[in-house]
Amino acid sequence: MTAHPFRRTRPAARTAALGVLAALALAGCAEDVPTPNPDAAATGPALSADQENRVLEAMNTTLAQASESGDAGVLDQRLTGPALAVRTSQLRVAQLRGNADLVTNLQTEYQALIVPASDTWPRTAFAVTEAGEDLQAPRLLALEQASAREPYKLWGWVQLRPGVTLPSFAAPELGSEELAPDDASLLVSPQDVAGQYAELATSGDESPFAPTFESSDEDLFRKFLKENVQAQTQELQKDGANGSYSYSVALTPDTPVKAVRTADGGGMVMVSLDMVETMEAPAGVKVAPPEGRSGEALLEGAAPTNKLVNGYSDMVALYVPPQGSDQTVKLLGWTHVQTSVSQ
Amino acid sequence: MLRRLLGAVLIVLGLVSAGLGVASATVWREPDTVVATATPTGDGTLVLTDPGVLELVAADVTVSARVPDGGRVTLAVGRDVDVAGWVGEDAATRVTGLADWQTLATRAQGGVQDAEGEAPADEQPAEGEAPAEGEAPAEEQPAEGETPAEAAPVVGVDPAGNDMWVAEVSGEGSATLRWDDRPGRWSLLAAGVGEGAQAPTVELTWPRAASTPWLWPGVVTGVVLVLAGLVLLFLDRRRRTRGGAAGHGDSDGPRNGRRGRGEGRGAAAPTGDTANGTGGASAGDSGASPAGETRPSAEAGGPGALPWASRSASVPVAAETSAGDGAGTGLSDPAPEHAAGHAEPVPTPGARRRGARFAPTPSTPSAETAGPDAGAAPVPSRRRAALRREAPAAEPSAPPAPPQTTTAPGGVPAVRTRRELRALEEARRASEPQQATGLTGRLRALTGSIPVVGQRPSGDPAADQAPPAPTTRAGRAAAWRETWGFDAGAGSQSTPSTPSAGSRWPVTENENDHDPEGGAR
Repeated sequence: MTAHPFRRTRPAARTAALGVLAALALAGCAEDVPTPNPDAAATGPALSADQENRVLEAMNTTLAQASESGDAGVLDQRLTGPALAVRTSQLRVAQLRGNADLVTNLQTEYQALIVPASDTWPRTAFAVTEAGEDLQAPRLLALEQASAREPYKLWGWVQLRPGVTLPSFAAPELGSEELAPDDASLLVSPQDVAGQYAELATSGDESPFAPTFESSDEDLFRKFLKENVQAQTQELQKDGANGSYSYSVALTPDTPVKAVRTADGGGMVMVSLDMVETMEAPAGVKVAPPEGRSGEALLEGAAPTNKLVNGYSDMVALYVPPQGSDQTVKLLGWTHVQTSVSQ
Repeated sequence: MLRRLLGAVLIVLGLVSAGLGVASATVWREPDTVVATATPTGDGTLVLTDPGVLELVAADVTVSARVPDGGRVTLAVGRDVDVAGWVGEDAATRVTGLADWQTLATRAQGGVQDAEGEAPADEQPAEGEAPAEGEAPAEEQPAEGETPAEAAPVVGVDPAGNDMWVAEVSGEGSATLRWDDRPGRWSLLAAGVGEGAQAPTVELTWPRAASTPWLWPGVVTGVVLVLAGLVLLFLDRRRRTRGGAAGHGDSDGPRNGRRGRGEGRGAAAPTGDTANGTGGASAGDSGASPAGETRPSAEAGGPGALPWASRSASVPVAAETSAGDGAGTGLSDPAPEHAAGHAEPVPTPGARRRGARFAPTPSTPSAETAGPDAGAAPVPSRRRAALRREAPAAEPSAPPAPPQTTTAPGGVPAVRTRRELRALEEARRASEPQQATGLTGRLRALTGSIPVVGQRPSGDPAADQAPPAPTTRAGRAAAWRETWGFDAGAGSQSTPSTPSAGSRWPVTENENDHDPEGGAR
């Protein structure tokens, strides 16, 4: 009677003890390690507004540094492409002329940032400056990151056409889609619109592409070119000099356009153009560049001859409506800077 | 005998189990951080993490990277595509997750492979060595890698300063970076920088709320075992008692003697426990049941008389002692401030009630001028009033105007109503975590509330002036009834501020502690 329960209950106690010990032993083994569970992949903004502001700050620092020292060598830290060429030329002009009046004063306050949404390179961010203190029109800057290990560099800028309303873009928190040069969702693909515009700028209203674009009276850059032809020709014909004037506008070689999606499905395309104008007069007639301009400085005091070839670096920003739109391509801004001269 | 032995064994096992359960949640508790290290595999100077690794354990992570020879090291966090794009086709070590809680799973990624494409494809937590040799064509990389002229194995390229990073830090020999997760896919890039650089060893440290999965299983098992043991002991005892009652007079003597000892032990536990108030959970538990169970036998049997007296008195005695003798003496609580905090509510009504009954004079509330009997009534009321910050009316300087809420009707101070007592009890429970661990608090609730009475040893301000505790059974019973809120008569004199008395409890407790008067007594 007494031994029996002993035998019967003792294993139970042992089992209980074992159970407790096993439980405690298991306590040492923690749960399984977690596996990475990242957010779904989505093409987001490649830069935050903060980051883009830092980029712009670094760019302005570099610009100021170069302007102070007159050393264009530092520019390539934060400038590239057409902007680098233009700025280098401007600094040289400033050096030759002894003052920096002709150096574009890029404003350093920004009213809008257009952040790229992109997972590949190159990437382009845009920024719109405030109107300057000297009542300059706001400028649109394009900054390019050519590859992952490169910083964003100022690629180009245009001065916005007075009174123009920029198309609206996606919020910086979302990022604006970067458009490939051959993007087909636009009325004209960015690459094509650049080529057509160069052709149009050269050949004027007779160009077959003219209907796609706004008229040359509205397009201030083409209007300027048209008036320039008349003025220069008139000048060269003056006093029986019988000179001739010709110009051509072409895409800057090896410089792809920059295009970004606008909120309405269209695109904003920034194009770098090279314009070359040739003024030639019969022998004995001297063709001199206008005084106080870059051309004069770039000649470095060379005596005028009967020929003058001016090279300009031009940039235009165009709004291209989406495919199927009945709108025309519009000029948003442009810039026209002489960067070379030859005789 | 054997049953008793088994019962004892079960109790011991139960205590051990509960103890181990508690220990698993305290001394053996897992550390509050998870620290995982990635040792670079393969070639290259770069270590990058897959998206999701940084927030693997917790949203905020501390990243630290070391390079052996004191070279420069840079840490950067960027979008996963940016980091992958920056690394490009350079040889690198990719962290894919946790291999175990101390080790990060890594995989070497070579120059010829597509950095982005393979990331989601094979996420096998590689052991490191095997894939390193297999995947990373170490020597081929510089040879084949025609594009990266700045071949990483020669010179560690510094990712610092890139516009894409949202966080970065550089240091000599080591660098540390804190990162809070945010929406999106983020990767860490760690790079050894400079000539002859090596890939850094990366350590990720996350905070973790250490779980205590074995606390309650252990404790519950322990409690069950202890209860089972107690039941066995009890059954054993009852069987013997029955055997004794059957009338084997000869053998009764020794047995009774033994039983007497046993009960004496058993009785000692509850008394001490209730008096101490903070007794261990299991002690309170074991004390409670023998006290209740053995009472009949003790009443019947002579030898049990002494234990019975102390046992049956245990509950009221606790209250009475606290009311009559004051906190210090009879209760000798090991945690004085605890006692003081909880002492007041229970004894006070008793004292006041007695004061009302035995000395019904509506005397001045001033303790100094009043006799001991009368003092008992006003003092608590004054005190309560003061505690409620109705100071002006209740000040001793204004004796004729006792607080309208409490002592007005014939000097009978407000007796705590059941509701009031309950509010106080709730407040006490609410403040309990500071005094009792969750375990003891929970177990106390689990084993019934008898200890609750004992936990109100007195810091009663009226203690000195209170009339001697009623020693009659009627007085005891009255005190008991009151303590437990069974006194129907007392309920009618509820004070308007009852709920607030409960809710202000923590405040008043504090004031008690710093009350100079209370200290003087």
